[in-house]
Amino acid sequence: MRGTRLAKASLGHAMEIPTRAFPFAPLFPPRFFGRVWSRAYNGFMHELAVTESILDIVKRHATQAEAERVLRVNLVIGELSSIVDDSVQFYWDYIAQDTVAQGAQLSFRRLLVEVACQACDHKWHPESADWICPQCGESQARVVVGREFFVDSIEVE
Amino acid sequence: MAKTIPVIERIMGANDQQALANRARFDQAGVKVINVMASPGAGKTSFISATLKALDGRLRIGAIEGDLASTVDTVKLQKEGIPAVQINTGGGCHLDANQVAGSLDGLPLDDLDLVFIENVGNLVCPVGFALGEHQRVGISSVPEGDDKPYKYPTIFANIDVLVINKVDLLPYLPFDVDAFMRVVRSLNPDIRFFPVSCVTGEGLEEWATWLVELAGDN
Repeated sequence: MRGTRLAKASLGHAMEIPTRAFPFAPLFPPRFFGRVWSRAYNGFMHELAVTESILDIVKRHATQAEAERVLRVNLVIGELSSIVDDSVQFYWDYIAQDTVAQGAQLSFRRLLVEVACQACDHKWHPESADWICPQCGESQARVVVGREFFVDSIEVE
Repeated sequence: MAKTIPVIERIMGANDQQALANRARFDQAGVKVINVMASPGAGKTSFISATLKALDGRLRIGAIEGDLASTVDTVKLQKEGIPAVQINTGGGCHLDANQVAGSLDGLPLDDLDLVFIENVGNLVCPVGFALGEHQRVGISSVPEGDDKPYKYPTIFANIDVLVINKVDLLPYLPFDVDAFMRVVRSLNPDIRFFPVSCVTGEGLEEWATWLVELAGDN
């Protein structure tokens, strides 16, 4: 039936998602608010836009390669990219339906944040939010690794 | 036979391209654009109003207001004489470059020096989406607490300017400004701070002067 579709949610239960309007707009019944709506602000909406971009890229490359179906999508995500794997996977399972990428596995390769001290060139993986150089004590760190966010490759047949 | 196809394509590529197009349009109109990002209630709209007063006619400013719903902020700014357009994201947690592009016809860009884009109140998502802005300005308000950089490092690491708003409340709240600035600087050594109060007007002249310099680069 066009208009609604049953999606398996990562929250552990199935739910009806209206496809006409924005999926998580206030159409959601109030009982979901505590569980879903509160997360919408911090992740879900953001990941939906991102997941749509991933699907666009995957579909384009799959078409170019004349693939019949996409088996796997390899993503590289720096830890500073504010992307929640579970949310992307959740949206992916839903929006990839009826496309060449239906059922494709998403693989997330996470890159640890690496910063470099501008004063002494020391590089390290910070474990706390204050990026104070463990070598010289200066706070002049710049990000070397951590902002990456790209589709590395796709596996097709 | 399964095979692997290299892609290596940035996921934000489409947004970034539109952001570049927006930027070109801003530059052509000779307008500087500021992306204002903060949590809900940090005082984004009040800060834009207070900026208008502090500028006292030195610059012509406009605003693009991003909210999940309503035109409350737009109406508020229009009443004060600021040309403003509203983007309702319909539940979306951030503005993207495409939404901003669609709103630009609603502003007299050629007749403005400075445009504020008031992003959706949120410390997480907006920072991931370039809009074509020249400067990214975060606002932290004193009642939010001085621990926010620990909790949301990405935004503090990716802004050009941080406004510390509601400093008139400092005598009443345990907010350690020096410690706060130290943590933010460790994430972002080049950041510029403007401690302000939109109630008392403290700090707004420094901010306005900086804006005049920024717009003078046109």
